Amino acid sequence: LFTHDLWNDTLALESDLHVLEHLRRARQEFGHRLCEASKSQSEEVLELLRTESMYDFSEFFYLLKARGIGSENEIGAFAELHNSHIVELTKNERKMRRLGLKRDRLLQAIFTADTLPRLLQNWRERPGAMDQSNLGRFLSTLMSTETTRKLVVAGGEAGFLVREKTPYGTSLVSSTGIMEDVFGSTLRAFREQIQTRVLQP
Amino acid sequence: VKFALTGVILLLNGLAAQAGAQTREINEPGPQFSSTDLVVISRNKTLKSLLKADPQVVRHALDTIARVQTSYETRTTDQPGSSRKRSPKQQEADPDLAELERSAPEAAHDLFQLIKQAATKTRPIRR
Repeated sequence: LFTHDLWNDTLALESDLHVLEHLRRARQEFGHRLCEASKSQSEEVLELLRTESMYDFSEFFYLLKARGIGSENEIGAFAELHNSHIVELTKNERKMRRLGLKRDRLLQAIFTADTLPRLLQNWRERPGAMDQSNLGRFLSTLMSTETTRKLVVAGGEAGFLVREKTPYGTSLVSSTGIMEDVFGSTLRAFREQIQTRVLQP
Repeated sequence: VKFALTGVILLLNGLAAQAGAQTREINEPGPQFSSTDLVVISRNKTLKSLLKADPQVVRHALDTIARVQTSYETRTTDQPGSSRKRSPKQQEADPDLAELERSAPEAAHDLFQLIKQAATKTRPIRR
């Protein structure tokens, strides 16, 4: 990987810098666009929208949409893979430490015989909607449940998420699609800028 | 935020060493701690040792923890005082301070792969 060609090939180096410049710009642009699209312009909400956790949060919703996770079968398959991944993680002390995760927190992120049917039922009745606690489970390796809660509240105030109380006393969360659009359009612009350079050096 | 966190950790480490020998008398009313704050303090050795000696610093540390829990900058690993430089013993002693220094790119990549697998498991790859 670290050969002298890395520094001697000036054309390649210029292209690398071009990618880095646009990568930096895209990350900055994403935050700007998200704040611009927010219904609330309160500094408290905008501060949360600018965080890296919000970037991860938006990417999660974008990936579900872009990968077409729309049916009950698909969300079920995702939950199954998530559970296997969490179980594997609990057996890997080094990785847990690397990610700053504790076993008890990971165990709480597993979909159980109680929580999985509700995830499937919500998704079947309203594709794209899930309990806030289930959203927290999917995001558990990235952020704490408290961070998820804060982002859900901020996303609600920004008009990116709809939050509803269920008869079970839980919060049902669904996206309005704005976060995914902002994420997707920023990514598309970034890719096109990179491709133009690659095709026309 | 990155500098604030690094500053708080350095300050806490320095003060914790002196805490046993030096207890400051405070005449003005001290900072308030909620029951949630007290739970966090009780599970972080450094914060616990500083509570009597310098409650203002503990209050400042708790506020910083709350503020940066949603921030990216504290999760990068290549900065001074990152989790790679904290021993497992230190992480055990101060779990909430360690939480601030997590690394997420690996977890984000794992999540990306899981969603990709879920999509391809239920139907052919979209091109």
